[in-house]
Amino acid sequence: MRKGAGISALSRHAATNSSYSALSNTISASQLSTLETSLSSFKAALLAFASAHRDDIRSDPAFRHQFQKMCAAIGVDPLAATGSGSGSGSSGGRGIGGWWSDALGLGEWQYELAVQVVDICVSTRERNGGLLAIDELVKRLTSMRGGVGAGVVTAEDVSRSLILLKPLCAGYSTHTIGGIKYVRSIPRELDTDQSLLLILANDTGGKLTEDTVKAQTGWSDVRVRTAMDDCVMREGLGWIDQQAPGGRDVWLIAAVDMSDRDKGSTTR
Amino acid sequence: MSSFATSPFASTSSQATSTSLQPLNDGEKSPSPPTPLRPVISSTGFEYPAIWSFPPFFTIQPNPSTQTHQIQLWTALILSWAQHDRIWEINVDAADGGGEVFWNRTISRRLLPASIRAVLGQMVKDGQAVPEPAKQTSTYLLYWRRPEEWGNLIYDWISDNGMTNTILTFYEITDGDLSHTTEFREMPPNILRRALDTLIKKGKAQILSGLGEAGEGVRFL
Repeated sequence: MRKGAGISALSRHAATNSSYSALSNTISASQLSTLETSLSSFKAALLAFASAHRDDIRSDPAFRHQFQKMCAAIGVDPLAATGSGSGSGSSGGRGIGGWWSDALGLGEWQYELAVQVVDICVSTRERNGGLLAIDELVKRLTSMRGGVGAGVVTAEDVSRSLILLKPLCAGYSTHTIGGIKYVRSIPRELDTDQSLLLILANDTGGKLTEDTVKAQTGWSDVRVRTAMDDCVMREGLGWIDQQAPGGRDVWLIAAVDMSDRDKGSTTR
Repeated sequence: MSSFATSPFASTSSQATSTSLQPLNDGEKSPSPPTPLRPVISSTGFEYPAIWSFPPFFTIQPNPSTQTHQIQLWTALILSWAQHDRIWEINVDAADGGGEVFWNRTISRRLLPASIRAVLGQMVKDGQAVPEPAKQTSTYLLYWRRPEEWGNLIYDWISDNGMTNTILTFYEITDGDLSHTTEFREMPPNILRRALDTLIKKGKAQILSGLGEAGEGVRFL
């Protein structure tokens, strides 16, 4: 465009600019409204889906995990949404989290599970030193929730609940030792010797004798004894059996398969 | 905290491989295969919890917090066993080791007398057992109900049967024709007396001594 000389060129230039910006406003407004429409229709569809399948999502772990995967793929986290919703919900501003948790109740479900996980970890801590195999935890959760009929809980659900507990800084975490996943409810590290003892104990149902540990690790007498003593005295992971035929055995309770009937398993 | 998740356990696997686990030679005793621990039902129908089959349960644990938990478990077990099998009194030094509960013959583990005393010591502190006679450490009464609860049970039973103001002998209360369905049937006199003492304190009963051959009697008010 030829740049005109004189005052008229200036005003024409301003007019062009303003008409461009008016056009751009119109376009972005229409885009925004399209986006809003599609967002709201998406929201409605998701809402319809969530409420239609609410029971399935709560009771069927495979379906729940698929749903969670789908949410993750489209960048929606039902839990995070609920978290922010309940955070600001008290002041009246119910955002996306509000309708989400209303529709699904999955956040509530997950929090409830987290509370039960804490309950079990705390109530068994004196017994196992804060180390619990995740399968054992799932078993206890299932019986606490009233048996299999009340909906199946899986190890993955437990892991998700533990993520919810992160902000509390209570140190709940999962660890895979020797192919078995454990929940550690005490924020303290296990040293490598004790982790290795745990691997060994998993093959024997929990029992460790000084001789077998020595034979399998090649450690010195002192190292074996120290590692086993630490398990018992420092960590509370192990129980001593002084009536064992070969002398003194240590049992790592996290590796022991022990279960009572449904009663009692939640009270102790 | 996040370092916790990675460092010690990441190194664990390398540790495990670097120390190269040796399979045991045939000459050595191979480790016993994992046996799941499950509840055991006794000949009298009492259900021992799974931990009763856990060998270290029979060794008093040196770790203080484990020990506290262990003694709680033992206390609960002893009292529910005594209630189920109607054991009123135990002798720690008896040949049977104090009772079936203290001796799991399947796994060859006993709670030895010294350990039983440790458990009972805590139970005495908590009012769940009492040495009888006092000032010795062999025979103990087990209070699967406390004397006050027993007193209330007896008093309710008396009122339900319209026997207030009647004079009953000790024997009639625990072994009479009417009491064979009650929970306090065959209660030994030394526990009965403590139960009645709690009622006397509340003014609900009176002991009448010297009723001829029948010995002492009691009147409920």
